[in-house]
Amino acid sequence: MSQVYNWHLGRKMDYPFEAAYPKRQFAFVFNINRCIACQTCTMACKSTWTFSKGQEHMWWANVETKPYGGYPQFWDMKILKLLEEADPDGQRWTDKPAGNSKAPYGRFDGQTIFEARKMLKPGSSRVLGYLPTDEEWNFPNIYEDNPVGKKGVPNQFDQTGVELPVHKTWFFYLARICNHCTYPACLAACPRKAIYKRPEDGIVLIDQKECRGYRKCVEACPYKKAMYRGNTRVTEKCIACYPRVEGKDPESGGQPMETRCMAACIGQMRMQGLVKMSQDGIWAEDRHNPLYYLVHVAKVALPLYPQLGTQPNGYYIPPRWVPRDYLRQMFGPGVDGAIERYAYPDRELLAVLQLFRRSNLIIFRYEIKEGPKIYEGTLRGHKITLYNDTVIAYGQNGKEIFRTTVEEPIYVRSAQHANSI
Amino acid sequence: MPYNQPDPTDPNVLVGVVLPGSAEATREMAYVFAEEYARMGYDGNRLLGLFKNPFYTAAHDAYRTLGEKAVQAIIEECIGAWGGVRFVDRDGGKETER
Repeated sequence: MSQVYNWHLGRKMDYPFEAAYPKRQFAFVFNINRCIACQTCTMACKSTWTFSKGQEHMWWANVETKPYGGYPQFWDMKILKLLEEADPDGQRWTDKPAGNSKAPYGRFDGQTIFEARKMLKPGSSRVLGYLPTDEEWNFPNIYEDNPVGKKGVPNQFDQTGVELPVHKTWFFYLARICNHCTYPACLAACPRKAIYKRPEDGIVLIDQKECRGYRKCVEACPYKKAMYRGNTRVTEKCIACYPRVEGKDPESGGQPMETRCMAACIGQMRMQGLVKMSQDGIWAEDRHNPLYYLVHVAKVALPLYPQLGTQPNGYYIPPRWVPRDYLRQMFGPGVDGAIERYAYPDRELLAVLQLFRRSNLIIFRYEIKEGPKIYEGTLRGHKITLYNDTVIAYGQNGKEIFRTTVEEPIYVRSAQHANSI
Repeated sequence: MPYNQPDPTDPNVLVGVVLPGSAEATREMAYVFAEEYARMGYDGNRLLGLFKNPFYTAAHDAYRTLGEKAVQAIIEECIGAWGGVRFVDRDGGKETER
């Protein structure tokens, strides 16, 4: 085992290979506060990459209702339980989140999936994991939001009418794709070295010619985003729509373009980018890259289950209304600060949040032109001041992609033309 | 949604288990609803009507749990902070506020 530095954990950790980092890294920020689980991302991915025979169970992009749902079912509970058994009562964070970009969330003193050796079966395994059952793969959103009929009376409409269920508690929608991890568990576990991370953009791919379908990657990926295809006997996974990221889509004009799931998001909760990497595996400072700003400056976007140890490159703005214990388990100790800053945003954050989904091209830099103060108010003891700043997005070639303002007027039809179409 | 009451001995299956929603979580949700609609230009009466409407189940649940007075206060606070929405008429080739 090599020692690699994991900045999510604020420490070095064991990993089966020497550290190697791409020039840029595919990364994304999802704003959970805005996701309505319309599944447009899910279907955009499905209709592009996984519509063929043998791929029926594959949802490279999915949206699940937390805390009830998961695809495959129970994926997060099962891996967290295995880790807890490996390190009883030891899965804890120490130190407080700080401004240090090498340890922004403090330090995780528990065990990652690469370090929980006593639980490995067989002992020659490299990563702690499990193979989901067929049943767990079969029902992507079962029991999440659906009403049920009368107990013991299947396949019949209710004769007297039923009430839709009332949600008696909090829930939220978690959109997920492959995290194209910095330390991928799938790659670490593959006995044939069929999985590789591209040096130019950090996208993790399975070489379909090399794969023999041993499913070690399916077992190892803690997010369960490697999926076995029975009729070809090889495993497939999200490819980050790499032709689009390479600028080969005709619509892109040769410029890097966001993936299908990002572009399809009607809730405008997704932003994807290519962040600059340092040689030590930390994100290189790139102050006016929107992803760098959201993750390292505003610190409103946090990694999903950082304690698993793969240093995932998907980041989430956590939902404001969910009990903090649950969120701390899911996103680490940075949750409280992230929600505080998101709920009472400062001038720059309000402007950067306008960049979500105004274009399908990848934004490499933004610039803010200050505008007039529109109004101010007080919310729960915090002063909220709104300025109508203009935020300008630039692409890889340095050209302006679009500009938009913080204030977004609502346009209404006049009475004269209320129905003139 | 579940048929049965949650089984407290089941360590994994959260399906259908009603997690304890605290009054604090409900209050947080009420703030989020009020802010969202305030930003869309709802005035106080319209927003309170939304909370009172049982078809907006989550907002209505907050209304029942917290009471009208508390919800009214939340609405007023959110409109005070986020309610500065402009309505613009673009008919006739030029924009006019109304």
